[in-house]
Amino acid sequence: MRIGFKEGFIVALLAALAVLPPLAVWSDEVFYIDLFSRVLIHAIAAVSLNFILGYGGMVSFGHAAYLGIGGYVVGICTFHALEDGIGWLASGWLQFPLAMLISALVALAIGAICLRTRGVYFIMITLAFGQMLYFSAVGLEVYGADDGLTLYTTSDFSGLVNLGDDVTLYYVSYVALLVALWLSWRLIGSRFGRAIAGARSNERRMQAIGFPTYSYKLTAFVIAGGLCGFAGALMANHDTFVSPSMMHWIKSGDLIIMVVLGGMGTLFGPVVGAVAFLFLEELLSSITEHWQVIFGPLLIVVVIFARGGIDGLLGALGGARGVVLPFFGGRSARQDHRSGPEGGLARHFSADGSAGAPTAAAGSQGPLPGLASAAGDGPARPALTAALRIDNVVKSFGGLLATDHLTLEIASGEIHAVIGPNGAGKTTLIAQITGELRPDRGRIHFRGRDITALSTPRRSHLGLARSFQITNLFLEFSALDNVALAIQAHSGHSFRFWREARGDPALHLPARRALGQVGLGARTDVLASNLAHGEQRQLEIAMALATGPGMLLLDEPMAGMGPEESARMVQTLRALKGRLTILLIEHDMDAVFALADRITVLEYGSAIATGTPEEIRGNEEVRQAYLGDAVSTA
Amino acid sequence: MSTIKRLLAFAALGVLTVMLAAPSMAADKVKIGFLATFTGGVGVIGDDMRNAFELGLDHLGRKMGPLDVEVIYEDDDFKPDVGKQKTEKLVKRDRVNFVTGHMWSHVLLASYNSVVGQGPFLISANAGPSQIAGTLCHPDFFSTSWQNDQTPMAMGEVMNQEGIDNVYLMAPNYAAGKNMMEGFKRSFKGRIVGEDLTKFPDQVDFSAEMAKIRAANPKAVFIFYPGKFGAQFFTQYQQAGLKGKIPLYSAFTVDALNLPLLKDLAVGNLMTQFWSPDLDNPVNKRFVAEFKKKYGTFPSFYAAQSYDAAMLINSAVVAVKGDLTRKDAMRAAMEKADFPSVRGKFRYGNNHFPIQNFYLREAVKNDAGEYTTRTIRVVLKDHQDPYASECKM
Amino acid sequence: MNWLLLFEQTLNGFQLGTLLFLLAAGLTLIFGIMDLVNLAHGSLFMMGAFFCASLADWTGSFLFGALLAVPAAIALGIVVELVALRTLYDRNHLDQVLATFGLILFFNEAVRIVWGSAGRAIPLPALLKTHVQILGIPYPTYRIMTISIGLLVALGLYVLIARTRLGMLIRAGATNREMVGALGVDIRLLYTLVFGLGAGLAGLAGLLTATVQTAEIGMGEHILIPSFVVIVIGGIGSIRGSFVAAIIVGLIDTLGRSYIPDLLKLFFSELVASTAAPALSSMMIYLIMAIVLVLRPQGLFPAHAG
Repeated sequence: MRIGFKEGFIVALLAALAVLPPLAVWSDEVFYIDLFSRVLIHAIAAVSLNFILGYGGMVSFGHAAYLGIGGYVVGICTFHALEDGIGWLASGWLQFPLAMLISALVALAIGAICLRTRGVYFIMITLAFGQMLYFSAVGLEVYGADDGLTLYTTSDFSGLVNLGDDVTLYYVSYVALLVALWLSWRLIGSRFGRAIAGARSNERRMQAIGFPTYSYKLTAFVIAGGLCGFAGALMANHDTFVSPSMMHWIKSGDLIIMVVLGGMGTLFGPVVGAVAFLFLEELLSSITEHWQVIFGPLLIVVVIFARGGIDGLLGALGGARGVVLPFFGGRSARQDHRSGPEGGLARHFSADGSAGAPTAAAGSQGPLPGLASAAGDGPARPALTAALRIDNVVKSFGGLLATDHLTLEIASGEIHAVIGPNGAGKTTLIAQITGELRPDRGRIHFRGRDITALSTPRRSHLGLARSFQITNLFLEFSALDNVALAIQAHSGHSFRFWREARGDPALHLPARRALGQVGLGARTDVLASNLAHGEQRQLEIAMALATGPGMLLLDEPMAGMGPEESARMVQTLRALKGRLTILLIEHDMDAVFALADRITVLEYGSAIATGTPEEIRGNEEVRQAYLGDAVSTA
Repeated sequence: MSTIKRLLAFAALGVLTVMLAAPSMAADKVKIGFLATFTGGVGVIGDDMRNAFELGLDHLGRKMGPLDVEVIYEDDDFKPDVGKQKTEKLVKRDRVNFVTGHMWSHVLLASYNSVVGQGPFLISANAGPSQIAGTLCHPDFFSTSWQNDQTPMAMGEVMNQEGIDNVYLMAPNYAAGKNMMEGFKRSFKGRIVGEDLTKFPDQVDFSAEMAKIRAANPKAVFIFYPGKFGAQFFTQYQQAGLKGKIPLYSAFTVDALNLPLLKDLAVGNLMTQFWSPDLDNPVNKRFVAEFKKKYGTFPSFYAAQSYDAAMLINSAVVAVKGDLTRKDAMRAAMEKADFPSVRGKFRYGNNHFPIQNFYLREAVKNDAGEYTTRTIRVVLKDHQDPYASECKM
Repeated sequence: MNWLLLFEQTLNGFQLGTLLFLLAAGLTLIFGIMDLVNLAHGSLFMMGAFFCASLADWTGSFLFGALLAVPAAIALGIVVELVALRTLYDRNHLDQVLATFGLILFFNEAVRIVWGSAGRAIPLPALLKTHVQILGIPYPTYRIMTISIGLLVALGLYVLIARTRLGMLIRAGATNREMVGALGVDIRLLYTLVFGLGAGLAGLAGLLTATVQTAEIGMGEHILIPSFVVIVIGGIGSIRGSFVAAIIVGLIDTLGRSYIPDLLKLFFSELVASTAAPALSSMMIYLIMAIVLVLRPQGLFPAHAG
């Protein structure tokens, strides 16, 4: 990480926060210790929210609920310790872990339900759960209902740490914040963190390459809930008071504002945001009673003009490249390639030695990474058996039959093309093979196993890989990161929270190799969004290959390509011929006839002919119904 | 790296400047922190309290004894946590000698410990939750209003006297709302045929509850809906065709702030209160007249309490001739309640809540065409709240 | 069981439902067509109320006040759309939530500066202050009027959307945004019109509410969340869905408030019932939303389906 203006600012901010208490005591302004303890505790909560919102893309509008739960655990324990004389309940050694545990459990329950929804429905359902918890707290008659509960002592840490002392509480919060930051830095860099970030970027693709995203997101949700519960426990000790207003939806909104204001998806953004938000509130309200008239439009201005939040502004101020936590160095490369990727395309291609002779390059670099494992499975599947068998499959959308009693066998090792006019049901077929759609009737077998009821990630793990008709990548990741994620998906589970995945050679090396083989060896660090269209299609193939598939489903890999790019793709695919089973859906008839061992023609959801290219070419019915027309336009 | 050094220095300097820019200490002033809600729908109450407090200071020549007065107004945003934070600021940063205001029971409870025992006196000019009157009482706390239970207790008494033997209760679901119901039940001898605690502060449509009232057909309805909620209740009560059919009694629901909105809707409504604009004593007459002159409206009971808070604080400062270090002497002075109160002479109980009269009053349209309230009779004389015995002081 | 009470509560629920529908209709259209999460919809609701209060004072008539307030709300909506929201259409929902949250803060304080914090009452004409007898129940004329207006608006929207060219574009926009652009329609104008329509409906709901509850700061936020609950239950972008959901939410909220305490008393002790009832009835609509979303993640009538 380069030390720039922004890093300087953050170091200065942390340093200033570290020396604040002695300065405050010296200048006899101890109020600031109190104010900034509050800031620090909010920063911890914001860091926890940022983990799911900024990195995981889950806009939880009920995050303050965990703040309240953490607070109430401390409040209720302290209450019973005093009222009923149960001394051990006052122990902070009990209260803080309990606060985190209960918050995490509640997050588990809420997340398990909410994560079934997407987008704005997710925002609203988390809000709903937040409000339900809020009203539950209002109903806690014994604990003061909506008046809240005053704590007459702070948590007792065997007399070692006295949270009742302002300075002690300040430093405990400060250290806790540093620990929270460090934790989230480790988490983000781990395989688990990358799985979360991938799910934010492109969840559909994540599932296609074999990540059960739901479990990863739920785990992240629970971690964030637990951490926020810790902040809540600290807040209860700071305020010596808990009330339902800690969990009101406005409070959740405040937390979101802090994260976005600071810069979401950046490590220190939430801290900067919390400082800025609470400081601004303090400052503006001291200028005018009508401070919201200023704060409201300010918020709009920040949203419209400062998209990266303060973090982004600082980056711009420093005039430096973005320093937002590069994964594999992809983000820092953004500026380098930002200008005119389209214009630079041709030049790049001609400069890339492998572009001219992809087949030779592939041959000389040895087996593809995916093929090694595919070959390992080899003995289990005798040649000439069907790799994929589609058995009398039916799928209808409101009366319209998209797949009409289709039966199809794809032999091991062949390139089998499926062609047909638009609306013939090709993409629906692919979706049923990958598991994104379930057939209404019929079975699908892969390598002799019935996969009809399996999830997309499970099928991916069995060796079914796909590319998408419309380019479907992790656009804000580098090319290398895209492929590395695919490899990660197939090297065991990603519930690995600690080990650094950034620069992990186990992911890195095979990813580079795969990129080299599709001719992207020199483009590893370029963001996927900055790749030319043809390069993105090649990257799609690289990702599919990297998962070590037994079978490749290619949905119009040449769509939108120029002749030069298409030729290049044909080369790449030809190099795979015989080593992989490939189901190819393509409109480019030249490519189809050049590559395919067998061709199936689909019309209105059913197969009207299957055979070798020659047979299909000679089939009068196909010719008249479809091919003649298509060939002439292709 | 020099950039970083410069930044560090800049940041440290920045922090220091902010700190040093804080108001400097001066012993020739009495500093008063005034915490209330000035924003949002209930801000109107805070404004009225502030107006009365300012009027009180005007009447004192903006001096207390030999000292100038500085008042710092803080907005609690109607939230306990914000109130607590603002209180911390008033006590620790502004180092006020008195904290006053406090519209809401829950805000007062949250910030209570940040004031009492920390140096300043806490003078509640409105909220009077039972805990503070009882087990949590503290020598540094005084009230210039009442304990929450007292006013509805007076209303229970009124109904006993009038022979009403069954009644329907309604209040918002928060501390004061529940205190009101408890207080009423403490003195009321008849039967409660129904009671509703409505969602607070979101619920403003009472159609479901009105229908239940009609179905229950009680002899009277007693409500507590402070501030803006009062206006909404009355409008809907009339529209539901209940006005004139089932008599409506209230506490803290009709006040000088919403009467001009309610107009005839509220006329005839009976309520109990410790004070009324027409109380016949010279202090009150001057207060009401000059308040109307300065602000153009009748003062509300909130205003009356705030005015008294200013006077109570003044009595303490005058007693020690401006030597604010003599806390015990100031406390002794305030315990005497020896100041010109708008409610006439009263005394303090052991828990520092007033022992005072409660009146039955009625909303009326006076000869000048203004809407105000009129005192009918004394209901409870020299009444002390029921929690005083729990206070070990 | 008091059947008359049940009937009256059902009417009350229906009335709350129609009011929610007025808000939800605009919200769901704006959401469905522009893909804009507009938290400031509640502010337009509030502004409608304050406009009506001032204009009724000025003209001396509630009717004229109301008739002028709706166009005023439309105009304000259009201005807000042009000045602040236009740039937000292609942003993610999070940005929109934040920016429109900023608008709420702004409008609340602006109203406080202009109208003061006390709020304003809107005097109803004598005709609407009465009540009529329905099955022997005196029912407020005003509430009958609200129900009628709500139904009329629902009918009007149905005709507009099902029968007119504008409606066709709106339907197209809710299911497929690109298609509308492809039809050669000025999409920006369509957005502005739809936003104005939504603002007008919100303003209408606001002034209807204010006649019974006074116009006050923050009135928008209290009803905003239930309105969002309505459109999420109904399925975003679907007018039909939001109508059905609004009635469901109105009925559940009202009936919940009246019967949950008694219901709980059947199963639990008096103490438990009186403690849990207010909390439970407050969270009923959220509970319903959570259940609907678990069973049908796209709401009851998803507009984007198929």
